[in-house]
Amino acid sequence: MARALGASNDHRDPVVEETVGARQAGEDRFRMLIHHTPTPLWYVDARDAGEVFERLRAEGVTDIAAHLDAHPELVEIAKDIVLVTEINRAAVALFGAGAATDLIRPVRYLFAATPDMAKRVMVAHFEGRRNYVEQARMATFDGRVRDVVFSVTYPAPPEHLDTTFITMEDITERLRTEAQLRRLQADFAHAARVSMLGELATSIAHEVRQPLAAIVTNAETGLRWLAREEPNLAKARELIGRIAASALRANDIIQRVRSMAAKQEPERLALDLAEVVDEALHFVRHDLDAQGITLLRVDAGELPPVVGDRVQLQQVVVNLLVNGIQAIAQANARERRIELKIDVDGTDAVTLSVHDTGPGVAEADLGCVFDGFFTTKDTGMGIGLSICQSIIAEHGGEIGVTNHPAGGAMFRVSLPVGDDARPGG
Amino acid sequence: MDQEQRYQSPGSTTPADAGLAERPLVRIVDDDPDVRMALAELLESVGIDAAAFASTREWLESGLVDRPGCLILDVRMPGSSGLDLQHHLVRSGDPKPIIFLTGHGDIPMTVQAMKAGAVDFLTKPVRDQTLLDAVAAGIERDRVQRANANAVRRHLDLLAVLTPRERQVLAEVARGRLNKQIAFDLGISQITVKLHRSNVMRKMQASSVGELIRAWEAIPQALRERRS
Repeated sequence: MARALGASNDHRDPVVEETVGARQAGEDRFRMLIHHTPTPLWYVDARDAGEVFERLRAEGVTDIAAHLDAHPELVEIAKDIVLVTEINRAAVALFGAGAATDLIRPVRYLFAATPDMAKRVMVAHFEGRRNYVEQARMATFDGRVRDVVFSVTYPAPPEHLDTTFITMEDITERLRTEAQLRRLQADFAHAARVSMLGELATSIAHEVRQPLAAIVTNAETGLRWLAREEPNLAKARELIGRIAASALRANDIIQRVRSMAAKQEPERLALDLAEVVDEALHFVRHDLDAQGITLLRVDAGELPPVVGDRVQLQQVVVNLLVNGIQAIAQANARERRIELKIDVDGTDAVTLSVHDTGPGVAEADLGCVFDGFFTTKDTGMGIGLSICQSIIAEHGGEIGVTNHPAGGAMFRVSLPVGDDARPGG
Repeated sequence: MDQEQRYQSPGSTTPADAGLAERPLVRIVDDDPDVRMALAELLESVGIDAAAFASTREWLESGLVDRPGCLILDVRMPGSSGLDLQHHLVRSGDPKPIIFLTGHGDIPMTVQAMKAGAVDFLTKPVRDQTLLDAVAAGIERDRVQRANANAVRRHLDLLAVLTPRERQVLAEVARGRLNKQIAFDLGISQITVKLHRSNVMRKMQASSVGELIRAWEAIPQALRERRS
């Protein structure tokens, strides 16, 4: 380096030429590497779009996203004036193109399967960001659709403004595998849920029988009032109203059981954990009563929402409660109490703890209670807690167990606070 | 909620009714508001006073006046179970007849309840006539129990007036012993025994020895001896 500088002092012009030549050679080698790199890559000339942006700035546009929403034609124009200038072999392969030249044209084809992305790419460009990354879908020339991570790197002075980089990572297979895993996990959770409902059948039957008992008695009482010499219509009307209310209640219970039993794609919704617990309690209330177990519930005041699948989280709560009930019942514990506490952990997590007065977990077993097919019960397959763990992990949370200093096992679930409640998917 | 928890039929709230204290009152304890309201309505429709409570504790804390009647209890309730309450009542000397309602006929529990003095054990949903028959039987049993209890109380009051010696003589008479045997055992003369006997008859307000013995036998063993 020092020598090159010294040389340039002596023979200015030849060195400049030599340097240009060397740079040219270096750039060629670089291009050769790029050409063979397995990452699909696009060189894009977005200078025309840059000029449009300059004009917009001069007109006083600052909120480019709003402006593009108001003038969608600008996005369409950009798709045609921004040009692909160079691509590598991997890009050709990704798009199933016959020849490299198929890809050297306006960028419109890059947005065929995710048209909205063009606007977001422009916004990032306008705002002077260096990079923009989005998971997108690409429609290939041979009729496939691939999932990719689409990354743009924008040039900034003094770099060559004619070269914007686009790279893509094909994640189709990864997404497919992940989806398969998720489906397997959901299937497994569903199977465990159905088996759990079987165990709770007595409890559920009791829950349904209460409103039915009220309906039968109210109906028969209504008939008695009507059978009088002077039928008491007011009474009959009142009783019929109650019959309807009880019937709706019975229906709610059945609906709850049905959604527990149903096999559906896990959802991601903003949920109030306290509500999830309320619903879960319907499934175990009778078992608690039958075992003479008192449930102490402590809720922190205002709970931030967690994001997840209502039914799966209910399943976890029911599972932990049934676990506690069985621990107390099996040990025939004298003190019969379950403490269920919902709390906020800092600003980014909501926690649920279930502490029973059973015998606790043997020290040696503490490490494996969440393993599949681990059980200390006389009946049971040992899948409940392992399902809980996989559900909680799927929700980005954690579950753990400790022996409480005051005795009994304490399960603690921590779920991240969700600020991005997205409907579906 | 508070209004729901206790249902009192209009007929039972007339304080002017002199016979109120003797009118039967059926207490219903069920944690399900729909069920206990329905049961109270059914009883009201046939003119029986009813009071409904969400829990046994709520009932025990309500401090209702003592009235004849019976209980309708759901066997399994949060907190104290129906069977627990039954034991509590028996221990506290107010063995109100109980009609148990259950979601499912649990046989060991049924046996246990019947042994402890339940009138009936009915399965939910219960038919109206079945329940009303059981209630009628429960009220009748309570009437008999209360009459007996009243008699015992009266006899106990009378018994309290007896001297220890008279009580000794009464106990011996009740065992069917003859005057001379009693005189020999107690080391007193037959004349004295006869004197004690006639005092006992008078004080116990008995017009015959048979009546005297029945009164004595109606008094529970423990109470006969406690005041001696």
